[in-house]
Amino acid sequence: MEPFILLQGVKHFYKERLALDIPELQIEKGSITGLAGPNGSGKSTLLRILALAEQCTSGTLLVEGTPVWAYAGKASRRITMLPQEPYLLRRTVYDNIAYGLRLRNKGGDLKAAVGEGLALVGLDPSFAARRWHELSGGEAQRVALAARLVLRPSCLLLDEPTASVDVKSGLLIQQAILHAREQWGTTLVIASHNRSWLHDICDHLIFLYNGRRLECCLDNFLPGPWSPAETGLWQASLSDGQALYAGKPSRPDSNGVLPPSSLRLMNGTLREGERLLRCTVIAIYIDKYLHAPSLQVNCGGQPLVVSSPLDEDELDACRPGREVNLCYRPENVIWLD
Amino acid sequence: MDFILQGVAQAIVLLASGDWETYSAVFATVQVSGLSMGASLLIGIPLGYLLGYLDFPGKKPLRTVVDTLLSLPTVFIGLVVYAFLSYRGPFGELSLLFTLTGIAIGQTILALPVVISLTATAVESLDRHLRLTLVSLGASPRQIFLTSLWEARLGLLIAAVTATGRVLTEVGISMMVGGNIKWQTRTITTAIALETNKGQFATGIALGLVLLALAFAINVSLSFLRRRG
Repeated sequence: MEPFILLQGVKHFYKERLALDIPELQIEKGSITGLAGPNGSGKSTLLRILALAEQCTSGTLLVEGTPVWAYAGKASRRITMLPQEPYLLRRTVYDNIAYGLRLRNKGGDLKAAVGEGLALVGLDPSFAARRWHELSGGEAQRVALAARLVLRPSCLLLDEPTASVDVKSGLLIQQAILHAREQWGTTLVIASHNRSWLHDICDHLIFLYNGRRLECCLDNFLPGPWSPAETGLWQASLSDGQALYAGKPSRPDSNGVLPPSSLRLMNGTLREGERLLRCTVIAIYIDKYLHAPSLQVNCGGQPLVVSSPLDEDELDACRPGREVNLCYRPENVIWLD
Repeated sequence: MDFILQGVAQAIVLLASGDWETYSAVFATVQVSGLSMGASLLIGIPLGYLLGYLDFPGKKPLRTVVDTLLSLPTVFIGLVVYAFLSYRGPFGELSLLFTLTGIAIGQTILALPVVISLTATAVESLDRHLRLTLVSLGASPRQIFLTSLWEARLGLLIAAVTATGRVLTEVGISMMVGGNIKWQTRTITTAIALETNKGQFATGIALGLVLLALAFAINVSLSFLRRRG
């Protein structure tokens, strides 16, 4: 099936700095794609390019097989974006929600459409008369989302939609965007730092780091600095006196990841080349993608996720609060730069 | 002190009795400032928007030039426009010297930097998320332009009022390009200068009161629009 959005060889620079380098990315129609990564990883840049609000320096963006460019009329009206800090026009809530409909010369009953938009985000119809400065942060975010939802977009891009709102608003936003997918088949792309939320809601997760897409996930992010240890290995010290070992990084302050599948619970003895970590179990949860139990542990202040298969006895030994021994191979650490 | 009070009293009588010579200067002023403000807003707002909205090489030096032109002396503008419109000048054939249109051209040059600079400042001070919001809602470049101007409406009003104040109160251009011809090109400010020289304080004060009333009316309108905005 043809993807809704296809990026080919997309590179984007801010002056001399490479902000995004995506050789290929497909986003299926009606899917929910999550974008994860630290600050400055390129999530917002990618969203702006997908929203046709910024033209990539090089590469091609295809929407349903047709190449499109930033500010292109027809395509840009099918894709809409909710920025991290949405701007409300200095007008009433009604005029803010009706703005996009008016741009599209959509006649019909604007009042009913605005009312429907407000209902979708859990706001009372009386909000329509309020002015932009009479709203709380969460209400403003929901009004901005309502202004996008009334357009019934083919694709809705959300940049940290729940970052600056309370739990209730976050829940209402989640319900509203899921409603859009169910009712209109809207394709959703969500950038967020909230990994567990992304994990729950998304069909696919894309990990970005320094503008590049990672093949691995960023669950076990190992920050530098690293110092030389024995026999060609390098180590990063943990707060409880333990050390994490890895192969030689490109720089002492390089960051790495240890794939969750490369960690295993020690039962018996260490195998040749393996290293040991003493950790405390924080939680056990069912991994949505693996359909199997995973462990969340704390290892001297370093959070780690273990997603290698666990049998009944191992699960029994991994109650939250218990200490467990994990094994890993230093060569499995993947350097991010 | 007495002659000032007498002047104020006579001025009120002049205005109340509808003295035609006084009102001729008022009408000329309203006409010429209307023309010059219309032209400077029509040209200055789009240019100010581009200067504030776009990033291009040479933007900062251009901004400095525009800001420098804010303090352009009116007699210098009068001199340049006179030279261009005089019979020996490049636009002499148009016979615009000593006409209200000639004054309006000079006043447009005076008001343009004010409108461009203050519009650019108003557009620059718009929230940086506005553009992304408008693009993401599907606005075309024309719709972004119009909506951005509407969002910056208070800044634009201030630009218009400031420029109007400068145009209404200038003497140099009106005097040099208009020639202060009675019933033709005599404006409030040139009339005040002339009448004061002649010792006719009453007419001067009457015209001064009209100027004050105009400035007051403009500021009241601005406050009203601000409250509504």
